[in-house]
Amino acid sequence: MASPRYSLLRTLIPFDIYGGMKLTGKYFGKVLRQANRGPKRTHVVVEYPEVAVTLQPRFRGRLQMIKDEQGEIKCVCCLACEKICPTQVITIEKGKKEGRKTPFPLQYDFEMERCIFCEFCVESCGFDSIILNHQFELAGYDREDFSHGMEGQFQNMFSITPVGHYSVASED
Amino acid sequence: MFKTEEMEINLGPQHPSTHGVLRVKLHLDGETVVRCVPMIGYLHRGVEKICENKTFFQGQVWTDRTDYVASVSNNLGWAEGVEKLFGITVPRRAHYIRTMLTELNRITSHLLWLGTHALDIGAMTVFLYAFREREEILSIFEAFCGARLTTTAFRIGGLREDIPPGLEKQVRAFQARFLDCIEEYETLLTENRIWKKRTIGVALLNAEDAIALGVTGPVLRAAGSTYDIRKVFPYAAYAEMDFDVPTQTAGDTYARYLVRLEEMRQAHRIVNQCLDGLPEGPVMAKLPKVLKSEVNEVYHAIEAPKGELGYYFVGEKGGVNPYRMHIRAPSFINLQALPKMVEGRLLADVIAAIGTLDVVLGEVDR
Amino acid sequence: MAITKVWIEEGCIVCNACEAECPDVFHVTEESCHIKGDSRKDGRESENRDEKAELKADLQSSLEASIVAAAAACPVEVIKYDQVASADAPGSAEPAAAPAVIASPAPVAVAPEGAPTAAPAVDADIENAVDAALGTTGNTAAPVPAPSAAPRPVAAATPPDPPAANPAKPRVTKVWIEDGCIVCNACEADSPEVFHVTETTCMIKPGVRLDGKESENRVEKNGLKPEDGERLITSIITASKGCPVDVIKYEVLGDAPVVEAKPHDAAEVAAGPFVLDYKAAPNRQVVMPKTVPLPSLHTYQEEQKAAVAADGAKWAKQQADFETAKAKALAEGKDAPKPPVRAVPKKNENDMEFPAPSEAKDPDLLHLTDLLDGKVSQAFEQSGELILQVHPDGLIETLMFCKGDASLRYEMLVDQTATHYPAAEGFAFSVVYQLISISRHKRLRVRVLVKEGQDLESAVEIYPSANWMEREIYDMFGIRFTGHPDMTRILCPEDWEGHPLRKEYPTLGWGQRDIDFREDRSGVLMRMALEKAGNMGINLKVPKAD
Repeated sequence: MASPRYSLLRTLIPFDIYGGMKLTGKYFGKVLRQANRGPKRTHVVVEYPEVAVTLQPRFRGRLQMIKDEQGEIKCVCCLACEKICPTQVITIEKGKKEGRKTPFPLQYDFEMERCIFCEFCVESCGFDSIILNHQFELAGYDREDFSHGMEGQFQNMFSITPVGHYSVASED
Repeated sequence: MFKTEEMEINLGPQHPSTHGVLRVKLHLDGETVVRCVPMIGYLHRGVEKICENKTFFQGQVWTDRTDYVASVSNNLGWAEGVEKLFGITVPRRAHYIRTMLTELNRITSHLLWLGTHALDIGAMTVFLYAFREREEILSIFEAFCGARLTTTAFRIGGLREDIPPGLEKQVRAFQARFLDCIEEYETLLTENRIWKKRTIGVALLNAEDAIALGVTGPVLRAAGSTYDIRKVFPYAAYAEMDFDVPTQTAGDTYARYLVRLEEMRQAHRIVNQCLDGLPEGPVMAKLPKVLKSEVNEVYHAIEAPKGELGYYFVGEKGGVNPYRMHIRAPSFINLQALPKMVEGRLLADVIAAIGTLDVVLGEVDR
Repeated sequence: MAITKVWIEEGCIVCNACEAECPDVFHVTEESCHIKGDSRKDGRESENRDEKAELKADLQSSLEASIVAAAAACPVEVIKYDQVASADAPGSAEPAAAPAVIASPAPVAVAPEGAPTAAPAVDADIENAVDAALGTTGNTAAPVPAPSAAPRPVAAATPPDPPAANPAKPRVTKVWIEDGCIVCNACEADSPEVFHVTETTCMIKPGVRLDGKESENRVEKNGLKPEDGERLITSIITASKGCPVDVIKYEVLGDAPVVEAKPHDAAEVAAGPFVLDYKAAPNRQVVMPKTVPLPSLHTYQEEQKAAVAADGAKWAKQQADFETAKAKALAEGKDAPKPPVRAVPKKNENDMEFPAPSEAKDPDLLHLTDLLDGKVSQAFEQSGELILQVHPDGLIETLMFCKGDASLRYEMLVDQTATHYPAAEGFAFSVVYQLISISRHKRLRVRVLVKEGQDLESAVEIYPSANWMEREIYDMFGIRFTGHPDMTRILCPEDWEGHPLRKEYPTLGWGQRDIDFREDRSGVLMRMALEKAGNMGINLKVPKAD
């Protein structure tokens, strides 16, 4: 420990407080001078609704179904995703379609309000027919908003839900 | 002429400084705490029961939600526990990546603790600095596995995918400036006279009491014990890492603060070693498509940021679910020491004591 | 029943579904799915489409369920199999026991057309239909192709009572509805002449009542007309059994049990579809475990011994069979058959090896066994952990030795938890204590077996950290600890009923609100259930659309 004399000095002169204030002042000055214009930003805050957030490529957002080049649904109803889902939010109705060899999902029910975005379904899918897209603005006013049925029913499993429909950005 | 009377008050369950839904029943004599009874269970979700009804693969998502500020550590405990139950050998590269992410997660957990604990005691500034770095690590998690908090980062037998391109650069950029950041926290707190007045000699717990009460983690090491599972029973790639176990002897809030800061530095060292020595090879062991357990029971403990996190599994012959799964939650056991720390002390120190134990109520109640 | 042959038709989409269901038979390669050589008599691995080789005899019945499940799980329905009724199957429907070829879902080799073959199987099929309709077990069995004229279950299972057998005919004198009707229409479907379901409750119709009023009949308990009571007794009892909330009560005059016995089965079959159980039932059902997965060295060694013995016996039988076949072939002047090859244990290709238990070699375990002579049931090592099982009487002594003995020094009780074994005899719970020695860097697990209702001595005196852990065990399992300072619940509220981590406790807790998690918003589940039931010839009543 420090000597008594040093200790007394430190009690009288607030070095410690000065050090903290200096650090705060440093960052304060930096931000004030630079005001987020420089190449290396000091700000860590994103002005979110106005400025889009950058997401990492592996981001796990909402479940979405994929069509191949011919516009055909890739899902073949092997029910692997339905089995592996930890919260059982996926329900698939298997059916047949004219001119298609593999089974066709008549109905792919996805209850988003209980989804935990673990991506186990995508991992289990052997046909790359579903992905978790990069949509994260998933709030809604009504339970119907979370029901992502097939085309024509409720919201669409094949495209992104109207982005920012309930976001702050769309208010003006 | 005057009569004194003990007063019973409830701290929580909706109190900003209890970090969740902890209710502490306090008997007060003036400002002195006579008796302290923590009341828990407000966040009980029956994670153990749920996991018994889910497969070994599915159960991991519930471990994210026990200690939600250190979910990668929980994932590691689950994955290694199941691997021990089945006798799976994990590739070395997967071990290294797991170790690296777990140590980054230790940093986020300690940063969250530092920010909120200082905020409780009255130091506002450090919160903002701590969260700045935490944000950066969460972005690393997002780049690795796609989620920031509920990571579900590992798989039984290794990892789902190798690290994405660019992650190493991202981690190195963070590593390059993190030691300076710790210096900044130290500038703000370590010598600060108010901080020292609020923490030195507060919430004392000596080593004997800590061991008797089952307290582990930084709280135990701040009382003088060197018990660290990473050193004592090495798991993942810790046997190949070179790091120190920081200890203090005072056993008070200030000592725990110093231990945790030093742990962040050691975690920084380990992450650097993992990056430098990252071996080539596969990240996933070769496993059958369906994992069916034999009759076996294992207890696997890892050093989570909060203490010893143990997973106890009982496997049934041919079962795809664990027959029994139990989480030895460090927060739950550490919280037992709260009465010992605050009884006979002042009411204002209860806040410091709850903060310094670093409990997460999701883990206490499970 | 047994499955003799399995083959893969053309069109496999390599989805792995079959291998997930039945890894012993199916192996999915890059291009197609193969029937494994291990499971086939000819030992080759192929799709088995052309050669149709038979499965090994010992696998034919043991793997039946999983093969059927795999066939049902196949999205393109290319897994086909031949199913035969084995001779020793109890209650075999076909007396001739001719191999009735049942083509799994898509009819490849259809059973002979016509009603007679389908009729005896109806009863079993109704169960399948109900299961399938519930959506719980969609892949239990392959449906028999289109029993088009199958009767309704109730009618099929309740033949009219022979009147001569019972001179004083039993009749229902009164029937009334208790409080709590959920307006589910089940009773009206069973007995439309008596019950009428309104918007709010269920009424007894005026036509059958003596006073001719329509009400719930709860207060007045008016009688039923004698002739109606006699005529409708079966359907009333069926409706009463089928009521999901059991509010239909009745009084019977005469020999009630005779009548009650038969409608009972029918009611259960009939009740299923009407309750629409797919909503609530799956998570209320508790499947009790049948095995006792208590790891121990004795049982492991015994199992190993039995396995070796079985293997030896099998080999001896194979050789004996070969000898007789050879002698027969020689006698008939044919070529001798090929000598059998002893099966080599499969090579483990995975990075996974079961950690087998081994004898206690650790000095701590040996020392403790010496100290506590007679109180240690077993001591062994597994997965690198030391396990010591002691008698409940010697528990406290053990813990005291562990903590106090100079050569042991287990200072900390890290964890304490229990496991429920409802299938076990002689005990119901195992309680484990995880100890660590910080100074010696060792771990030890002490295990005791506890009977139902038996109290254990608390370890709080020795290890104060046991305080909350024992409270948690009490809360979750109901094991009480004597000498504990505060034996109350810790995580659940004080007035909670039951102990959640026992195996008989349902996942959806008692007293918990029945939350409809699997909400059938677009009617998928409902349509699937109706369609499946329709295929089986059951006319499900469509519930009211809200």
